[in-house]
Amino acid sequence: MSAADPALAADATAATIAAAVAARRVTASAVVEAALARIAEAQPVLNAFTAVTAERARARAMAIDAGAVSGPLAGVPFAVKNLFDIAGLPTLAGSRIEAESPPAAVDAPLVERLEAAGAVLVGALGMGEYAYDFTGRNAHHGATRNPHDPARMSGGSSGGSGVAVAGGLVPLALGSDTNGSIRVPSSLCGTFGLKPTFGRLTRRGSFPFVAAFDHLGPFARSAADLARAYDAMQGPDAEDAGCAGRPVEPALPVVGRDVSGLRIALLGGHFAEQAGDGARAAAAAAAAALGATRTIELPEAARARAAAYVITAAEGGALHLDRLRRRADDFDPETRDRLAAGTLIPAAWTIRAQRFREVFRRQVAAAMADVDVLIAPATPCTAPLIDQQTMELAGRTVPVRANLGVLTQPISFIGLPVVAAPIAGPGLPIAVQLIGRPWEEATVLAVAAALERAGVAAAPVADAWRTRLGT
Amino acid sequence: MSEAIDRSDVAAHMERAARLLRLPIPAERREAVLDHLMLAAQLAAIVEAFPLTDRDEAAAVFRP
Repeated sequence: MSAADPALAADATAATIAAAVAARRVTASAVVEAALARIAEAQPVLNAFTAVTAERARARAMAIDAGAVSGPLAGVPFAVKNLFDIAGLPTLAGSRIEAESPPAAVDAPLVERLEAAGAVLVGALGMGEYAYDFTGRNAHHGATRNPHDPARMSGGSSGGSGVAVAGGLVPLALGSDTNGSIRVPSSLCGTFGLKPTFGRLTRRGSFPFVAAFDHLGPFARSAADLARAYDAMQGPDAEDAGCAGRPVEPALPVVGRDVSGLRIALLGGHFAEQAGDGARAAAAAAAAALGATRTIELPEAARARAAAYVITAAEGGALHLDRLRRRADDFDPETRDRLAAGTLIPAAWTIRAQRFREVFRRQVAAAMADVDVLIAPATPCTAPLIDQQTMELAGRTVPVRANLGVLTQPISFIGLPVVAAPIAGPGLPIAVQLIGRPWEEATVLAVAAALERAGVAAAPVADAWRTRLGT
Repeated sequence: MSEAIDRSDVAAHMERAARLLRLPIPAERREAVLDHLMLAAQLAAIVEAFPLTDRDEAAAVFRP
């Protein structure tokens, strides 16, 4: 194999790979072997993967090279958070308990849809236990580590997804986002991530957490790659009650469009108060590049975050109640006690929080009547150290685990589409949220692409982890 | 929040509700679970402080 072809390099985008494979400049098999080699090399340092599906990937790549499969993602290696069903593997959801579950009989629909578009699944990625996590720590499988500095958190709960993409192991990964679990690791690892509108992508074949808030979506190193993957995954699914059944609305054809006519505003209030200097600077840089001079507030954002917390704890706790009764010692202690507390929340609190959700939805819809896109930091800070338990936020010392999502939680609470876009700069990465109205994923993807063209957003492959090899 | 949340009230609720749910919480885990329940109680109080009307209904996704 020639190492010279850019499609074989760690920084190859999905677009580059698919073009090279379609033109038969490289084989899908060569692309997959290169990805498998990078994964094996990085695993001792980054711990991104919990399973590598090498034989399956090689067989799929050979089928592509034989002309049996083609598509807009031909030959593009991808990996998925281990809460997605992968035929033949137990769906771990970051837990020890689920390792005893029978293997999944079939792939999750989103895996099927990406493979139908020519992508090649290469493995399952580490995550925080049962997705109740913003750090990437995991007592069973070890923490997923930040490729910019392996002493630091990946963010979570889709930690392995952020690590695998930012570290140049694969150009594309899938994760889930209930309260920020795509956007937080995108920010801490420096990748682009898309949390689509609630109900856009089917969640069938994934381990649930909070049915009212669970979203699935892609990670990539460019907005166009996000759009390419997102387009391949769209479509109705009557078997997911949360899937709205929208027709396919392709984003890739419009991702490069001019966005100068859009009305864009910076979010103040909660989103400035709960952000550190670096996070505020990132949001300001994005706003300046987009010509956004307005700042607006969502006065109930902190209450929205509180309501999301209560519903999450109660629904998550109830989901796991029987396991908490029977298998408490087999949980990660960091999730177990939070889930146990969640089971004890009075129904009146959660019902009130659910009713407030509709109020907040209406308020934000009114605020966005004359604004197309809102900008806010994705995390309050850059990646904390792996074992860090507390951090300073708005002049108070607060727990890291519960607060890394303080800026993402109010937005997923009402299901708005968000692209996390990493802001270029020296030092550790941090991302902004580009928040759109419901069903306007194509708009926020186009804004992210505009930030890339302006040189303001970028997701270069992190290779600092390589200095830890062999140590 | 109009009133401070009494940790002993939350602890008493925790003990009784856990018993009702048949959820064992061993002594060595009680304080940790209580910390999380206290946080939930504080956040629930923030939600409670919002003046909902009787006609503010939860959004449902159930489709018969």
